[in-house]
Amino acid sequence: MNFRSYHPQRRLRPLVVCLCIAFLAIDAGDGNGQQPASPSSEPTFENTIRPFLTTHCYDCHSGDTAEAELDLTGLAADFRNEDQANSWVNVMQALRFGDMPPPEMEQPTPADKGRVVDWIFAQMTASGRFEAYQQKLLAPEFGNWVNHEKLFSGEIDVPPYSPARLWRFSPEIFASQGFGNAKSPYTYITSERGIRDFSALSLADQSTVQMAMIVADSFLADRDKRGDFEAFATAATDDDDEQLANTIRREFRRVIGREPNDQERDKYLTFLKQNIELGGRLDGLKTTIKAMFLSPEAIYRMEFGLGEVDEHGRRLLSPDELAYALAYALTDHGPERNQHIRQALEQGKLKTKEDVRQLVQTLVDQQLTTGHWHRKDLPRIRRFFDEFFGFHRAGSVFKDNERQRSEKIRQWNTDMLVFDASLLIEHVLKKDQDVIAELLTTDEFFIAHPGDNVYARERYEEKQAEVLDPGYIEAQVAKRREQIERDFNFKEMPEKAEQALQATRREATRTVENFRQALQQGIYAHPSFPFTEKSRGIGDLLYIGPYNLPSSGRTDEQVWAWPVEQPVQMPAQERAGLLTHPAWLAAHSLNEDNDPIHRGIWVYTHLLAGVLGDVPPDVDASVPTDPHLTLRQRMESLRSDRCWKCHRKINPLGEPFEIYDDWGRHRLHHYFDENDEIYLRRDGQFDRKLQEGELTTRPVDARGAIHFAGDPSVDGQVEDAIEMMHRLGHSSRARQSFIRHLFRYFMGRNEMLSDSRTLIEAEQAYLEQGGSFKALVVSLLSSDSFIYRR
Amino acid sequence: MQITRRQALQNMSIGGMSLAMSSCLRSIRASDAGAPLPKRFVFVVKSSGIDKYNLVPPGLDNHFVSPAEGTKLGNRGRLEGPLLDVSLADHKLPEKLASLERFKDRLTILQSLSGVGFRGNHTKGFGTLSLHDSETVAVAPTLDCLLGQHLSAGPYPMYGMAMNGKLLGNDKASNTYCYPNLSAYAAAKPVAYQGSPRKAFLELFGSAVSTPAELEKQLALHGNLMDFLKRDAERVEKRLSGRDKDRFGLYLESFESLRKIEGKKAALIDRIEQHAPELTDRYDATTPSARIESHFEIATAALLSGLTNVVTLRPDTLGVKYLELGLNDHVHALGHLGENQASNGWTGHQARMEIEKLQFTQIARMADQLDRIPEGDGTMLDNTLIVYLSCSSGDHHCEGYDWPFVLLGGLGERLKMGRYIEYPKYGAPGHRTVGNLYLSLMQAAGLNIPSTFGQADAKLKHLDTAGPLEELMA
Repeated sequence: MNFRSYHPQRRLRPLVVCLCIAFLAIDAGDGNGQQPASPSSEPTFENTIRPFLTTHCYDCHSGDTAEAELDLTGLAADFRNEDQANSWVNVMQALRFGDMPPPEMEQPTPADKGRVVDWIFAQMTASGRFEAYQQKLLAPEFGNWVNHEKLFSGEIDVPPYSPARLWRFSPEIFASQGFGNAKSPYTYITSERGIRDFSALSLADQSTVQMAMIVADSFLADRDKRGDFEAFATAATDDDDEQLANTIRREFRRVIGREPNDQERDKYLTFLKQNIELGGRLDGLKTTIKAMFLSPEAIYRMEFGLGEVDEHGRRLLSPDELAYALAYALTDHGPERNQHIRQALEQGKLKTKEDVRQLVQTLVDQQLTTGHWHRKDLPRIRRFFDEFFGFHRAGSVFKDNERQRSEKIRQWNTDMLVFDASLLIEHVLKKDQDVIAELLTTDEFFIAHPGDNVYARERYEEKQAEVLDPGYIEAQVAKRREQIERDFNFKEMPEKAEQALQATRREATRTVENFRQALQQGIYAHPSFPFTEKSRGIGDLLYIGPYNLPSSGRTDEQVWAWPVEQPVQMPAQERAGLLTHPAWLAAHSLNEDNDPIHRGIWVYTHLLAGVLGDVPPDVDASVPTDPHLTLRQRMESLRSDRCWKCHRKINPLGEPFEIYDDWGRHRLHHYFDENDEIYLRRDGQFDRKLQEGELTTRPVDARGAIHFAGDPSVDGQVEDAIEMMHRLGHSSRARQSFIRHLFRYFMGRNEMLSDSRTLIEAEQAYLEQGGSFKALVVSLLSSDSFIYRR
Repeated sequence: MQITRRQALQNMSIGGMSLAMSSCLRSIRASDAGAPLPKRFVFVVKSSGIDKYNLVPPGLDNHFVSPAEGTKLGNRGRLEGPLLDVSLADHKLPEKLASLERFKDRLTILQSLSGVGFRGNHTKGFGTLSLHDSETVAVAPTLDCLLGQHLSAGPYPMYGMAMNGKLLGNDKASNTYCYPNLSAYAAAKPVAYQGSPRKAFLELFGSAVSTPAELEKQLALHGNLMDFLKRDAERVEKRLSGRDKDRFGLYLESFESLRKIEGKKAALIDRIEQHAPELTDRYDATTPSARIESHFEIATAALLSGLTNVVTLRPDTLGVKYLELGLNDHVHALGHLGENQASNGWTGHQARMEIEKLQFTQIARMADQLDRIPEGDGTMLDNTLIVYLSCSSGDHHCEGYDWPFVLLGGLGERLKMGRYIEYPKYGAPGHRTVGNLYLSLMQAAGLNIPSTFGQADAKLKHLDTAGPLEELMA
């Protein structure tokens, strides 16, 4: 399918022809597979649109009693009028995304819908509104607006490419440039809930430049203080060009991160000389360095396509450009910091698509999950999973301390939950088989574990030997005594010191008892992992309540049989994949409750490539409060006609997660007190009331449905999130939706229809290699979409 | 040749700078020519909330105290009550505002405006002044920046000074620029605040203490840098088209804008020399009270000099310890003390009030200084509004249901001053929002205002939340 079949007016409207790529990018019409209309049957408001509205819309949307207070009978072909144009956009979206006519009404044919949609696009173009509309669609949340079926249909044979572009550096790249704790001048304007780094939405303006100047001033002041410029400032003033050029090279490397080319060297040399003349050697040099900080090279990645031009007019990225593009796709540094990319560039092995494929294969084979637990060799791989799943935002949802206490969450440690979830991902990536389904369905979790079984056992055995040594308690006391002697807070305070020593003795005694008890019970005592290269610090088992596990602090008796070797098998009826992990559930919860709507939106958009229209401006986002009802019951109001038009897409996907509370704990019942009000406490008071029969229970209703997977074996009712995830996790729709998001992440832009071949090839590579994530990465990063510009 | 500072600055005025200068000079002479008087704002955004219960003038019903126990009511706990709109002339000011007694006719206390629907546990962050869900990431322009862009003819649309950028966990005063997440020109355009009084002085009033030769050198280097960067950027611009070219244009244009800032400063050399405070070692002191005093002093001088018409001050953060008040507890801890005792024996409530008093004393000093400068038929204070508020609304944890404001000064008689105005409780008929207040300030400042400001509160659909506060507008 190409543009021609969608836009029959092309010969009459040259402007539309100019925008053909734009149309292709957003998949303007939905007349999939229909014959192009001939010029003689060009749709007009009178011959096509009004009859369509009369047949399908006016019945409900007319007069004083119009549904949703939307009267379409007054809608004319006047796109200069702001209100009218906005109404037409709403009509177009409702048609494109299947929101209207309602499912129970007679449906127009795709061809009829396509003609109306095409007509609206053409009118928007003619009235100059198309550009603004298209600009909006550049944001990641509109990625799914490109028709999913068409993207994977195999019908589109347009050679893929990315537009030539500037891409402002990300805050993460800035943070790794070695400017200490300086605030990044770069900020994302993309939503926090999704993929952040999009080239077309990366801006540098006056405030960016001013912030970069603040960083530069601070950097220069620090170096000045350290005496970095002293030799230069006090040197003889008759340096020859070579000496000055060496200074330029050194500073350029420091700021830009690479050697300057000859042109750059000469440019800065001339500038340095001017500045020395104007302001002396010290200030002259500082001004020159500041210019480097503020130069386009310090702020933007540039991908123009400086390589060969092919028969389709696409320009290959030059070897230098490829090296940078690959380095920034996988890391937060330029190519010089990655030995594989650096060597490939130096050895001239970055000239062809095959060169790129081989390099990416090497990178993922050798570095996909390697590195420090917190600083990975390919940090952008982990960040993709953060941004795709969004579980890393668990800590951003505030949970009240009082609720924690009354609902018996002994420690709400979202950092640990997020760490556990990231280990799960790493484990699946290491196996690299059936990765997407595994991530979405696995019941193998890591809990209070460093992720490395060899290290975990070493640490356990070391700690056990230490604790069970007869001298352990005295050794701990002696160690504490030494600390106290050095600590001025204890100076001439013998009583305080003695109390501290006694506390240490008590704690050490308790630790020994815990280890002995654990041995007697045949379980492993948790050894407390320190922060090291191999693991983050993991103090104890206090935070594990959200997994429905009994928590214990360092001096408590350990109840849970912590496995020294993990992953640990969770109950299959309770957990299935990352979406049932407490980190994901917490990140997609509200301050005081679950968030079925955002959970449903997530599943719909991330696993079903679903499209939602804009939220109506007058929508009341609050769910009514009523202490006598469960959240699910309170959300019944969303099943009214007006709301259900959109909510039918999301609520049945979000409500299955009601088998968890908003801490991520699995549950089967809701409890109600003597006033029939929902009872949330889980502390001693709860135990007492339960024992005394003061509480009644209602089973959790977590039924839901999948409607839009396009596969009858996947679509249908589900009992709860477990069933839903097993059905969705193995579906081709979820796989393709995942691939689309990974594409967006690597390319820094939304898909265009012309990327169809790239996406299909990526899916094939994934399937042919048994569900290999590595194969996906190799395919996408060596695709035409990645290496060609136009 | 011996040249003066003035000559040095004016000599460097080349190219596009003349326009900026002339507009600036016009503004300075505005009052002489009978043109509208300039208007100014000072936002003082404290942390940890402004207590509501001790902001009610004695003699009025206090809806923020439990009638039975006489204790402070918690968030959302205020009692029902009608709109109160009374003259302060008939009442003594509450104890914590005693230092402002002499300005009572130019003081208005506002209570029970709401700003609900956006997150923030201890701070609404950018949402404080933008009224969006925007605690740490700027998603919309903030009020101070909007006003600054409209009002300021000087080099800085607005200028911010803060104790520290980090809200919690840092009790050290910042000695450089920091980001307290309060002000933004637009989405993703946060404003850096200067932490160091010394650096703020050098940036704003440096010309007053530099030698002509040094000034000339710095200006020449700055001009050369901007020229170089502009030429260098044009090299890249040639290769761009479409949206990329538009986006890159923002970067390219910034060099011209930065050059204009220097031009505007140059035009103000006389006023800067006249009003620059004395640069002394006290600007390096890091105790909170000394730092707050320095920030207020510099802010006042910046307004007097015409460097900006809008200043936002962040007098403390939750990590700050007012050791000079004998408090070894940081502001966050004080917010949790309640009736319990702080390190010096005060209750938590009392300690919080003493901190507010300390800040009001500085506000009074600033008002005094502004009141000494004649402007039009009155003084500069009559055309300057000091707005005291907290990013955490009316309590240590910011629920936003009752958000107190203290306004001091005036905007050319466009606002009713000398009033205590308390709106009905959240959701009750007649209740109004912080958005309504911000619209009032914008309208009084001469901006064309939309019908609402910020994110709408879906729970107040039954009320009229559009337009300015009638009770406040003169």
